[in-house]
Amino acid sequence: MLVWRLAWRNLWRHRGRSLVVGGILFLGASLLTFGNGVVSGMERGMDRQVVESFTGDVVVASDKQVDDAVFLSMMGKEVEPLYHIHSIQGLVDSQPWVRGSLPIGKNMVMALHEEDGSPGYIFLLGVDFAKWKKFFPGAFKLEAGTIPQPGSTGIVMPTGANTQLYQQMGQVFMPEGVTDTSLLPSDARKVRPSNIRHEVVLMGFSNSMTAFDQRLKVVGLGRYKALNTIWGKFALADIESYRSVLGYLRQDEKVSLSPEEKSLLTSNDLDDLLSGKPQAKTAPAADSIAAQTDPGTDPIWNLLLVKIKGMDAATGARRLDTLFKRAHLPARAMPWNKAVGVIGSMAMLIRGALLGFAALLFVVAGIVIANTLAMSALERTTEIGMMRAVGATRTFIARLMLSETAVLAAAFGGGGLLTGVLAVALVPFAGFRTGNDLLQMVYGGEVFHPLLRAPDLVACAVELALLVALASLYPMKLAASIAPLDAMARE
Amino acid sequence: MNVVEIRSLVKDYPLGNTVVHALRGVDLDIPKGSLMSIVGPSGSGKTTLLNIVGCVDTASSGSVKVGGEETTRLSDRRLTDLRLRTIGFIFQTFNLVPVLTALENVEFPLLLQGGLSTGKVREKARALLASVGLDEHEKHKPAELSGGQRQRVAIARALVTDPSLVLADEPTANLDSETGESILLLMQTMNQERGTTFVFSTHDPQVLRYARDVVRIHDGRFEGA
Repeated sequence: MLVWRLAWRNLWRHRGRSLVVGGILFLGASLLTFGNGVVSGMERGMDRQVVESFTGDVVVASDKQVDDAVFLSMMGKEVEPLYHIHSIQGLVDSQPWVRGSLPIGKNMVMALHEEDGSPGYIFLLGVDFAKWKKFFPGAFKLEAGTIPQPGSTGIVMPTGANTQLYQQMGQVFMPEGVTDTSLLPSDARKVRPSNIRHEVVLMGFSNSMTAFDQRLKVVGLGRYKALNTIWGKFALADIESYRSVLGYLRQDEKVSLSPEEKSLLTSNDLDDLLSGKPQAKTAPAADSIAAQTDPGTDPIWNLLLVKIKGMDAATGARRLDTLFKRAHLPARAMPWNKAVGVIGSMAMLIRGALLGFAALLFVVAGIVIANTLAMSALERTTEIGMMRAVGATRTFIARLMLSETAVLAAAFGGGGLLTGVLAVALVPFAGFRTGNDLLQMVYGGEVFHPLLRAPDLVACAVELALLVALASLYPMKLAASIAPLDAMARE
Repeated sequence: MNVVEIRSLVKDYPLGNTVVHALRGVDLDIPKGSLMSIVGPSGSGKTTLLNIVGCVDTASSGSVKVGGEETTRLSDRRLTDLRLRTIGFIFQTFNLVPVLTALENVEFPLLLQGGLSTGKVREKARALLASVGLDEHEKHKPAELSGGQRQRVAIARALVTDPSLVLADEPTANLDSETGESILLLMQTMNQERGTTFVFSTHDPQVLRYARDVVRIHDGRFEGA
């Protein structure tokens, strides 16, 4: 009680100094709170724009897959086929912390120009449309045409894919009967009508060179609701068409050939083919001409997207990896931020920069507060020395200094915290918008929308308390070390 | 019975390349209930002697016993405790806590000691403040009091813990002669009424008539010793 009374009155007596330290605490607390709000908003935004719209929390790929960046791989490097999907998905779905899983195909494909022009390249997702829409509800907005129904085939072109193909091939792809070019990306709207196509010939390419050409009808046109300039480069095809493009067959779809038939098929001599008498002495190895097949009878996919609950993506990935190893399944898991490659790194970088700024603020505020309090302790040498002379212990003096800072922290830091909360609550109403994907990551969506949850507020309060405790350490030590004799020497 | 026993007390201060000999082997006994004055010119060593007896400074060598305890071997915590419970201090410049009222300043050592209820602490402090004639100024802050009134508060604060020894370092130095005499008179009264041992230093021969015992110090030695 005595300590608090003294602390309060000392603060009032040295109002100027109290205002300086209080002002720093106020500013630090409000910036810290707002910064935490931005980081949380960004995390929620990333969650909505990436995890809940495109990747899930954890991405499972083949254990042969070397690179983690399975979505935005450099130079469109092939994503390995994922075999034994039934066992893998069964194991994943049996975990209580898994919300759901969705297998997809994903690879880069070449769009062939049918009039001797340059080909184009896009990423192609092979999906079961009904399941994909259920797994990522509201992630894709169809602007024209349809989404293929179960059993039907076709490709849905997002704006980014059309932009890319227009730049590379000079052609754009729209569903039959759709002529409204305003649905196209702005730079592709001037396209000549003859270069508007309703079908696209795709050829998958893979390390084993087993892909086929496949003509696909363009059935839909649309855009991803979040990060469309990034995800828009991913066209969506029904899984059967995708498998045909990539040359993925199941074991039961594999055709067995006799050595003569294999030899015949690999012959370059047309006469041999027609006569049925191949001249080749030895048949080539079967796998050099066979399509890629699942060792079992499961359909082939490339990735299994997994949504989890109650833990972060990295932990979920680690747990799945352990499960796969135990079950001897040829799969490995990675958190979403690794799977999206550079985008994930960029998000982490932005988050790191924001946290770094907060840390810098923390350090600078700490140094200024510590310095001001230390100066104050030295100014009060006579008073402190006299208290020590009449029997105050070093602990009492240290508690007095800490109490003064604690009162300031509670009043000004608390005020700063509330101001930060208020700013976080009001900023979304200002309607700061951006179309830039990178800024969307920081904004947490199209509109700048910082977010503070109860744990964030607790974290802010703890950080503030830590700042005050750390900043008080040196002044406390300095004040406690003042001896009665120091006070007398001052006189 | 002696409250203080000093034997062969030496205090040296290093000052650059030289050493200042503040006390050169002093012996002194201060009996309980004394009203002793230590007299000497500036730089004679009287403040150093009071500081060592008051446990705010340490001896270079020798022995100092306060209330039977050898202070030269005590830890900082024990010395602080000794200052709080056994010794009362009155400083030259009436050092009071500026943010506390006169009454709260008197309460201060009692609150540090703990053990008494808030009511008892207040009651005791009020009684002491009344005994030094400041009962009407209990709510005044030090800045609102005169020099003499502040020194009276300091005396009340020094006495509130019922110490065996009160040390006053030139308590009248910053007061006009009339106020100074009233302060010494008050100390004399307290000594007689409460039996508290008072030791005060001064360089003013005019105030010696208030002391029962006088010790003269010069160049770190007692005169006639």
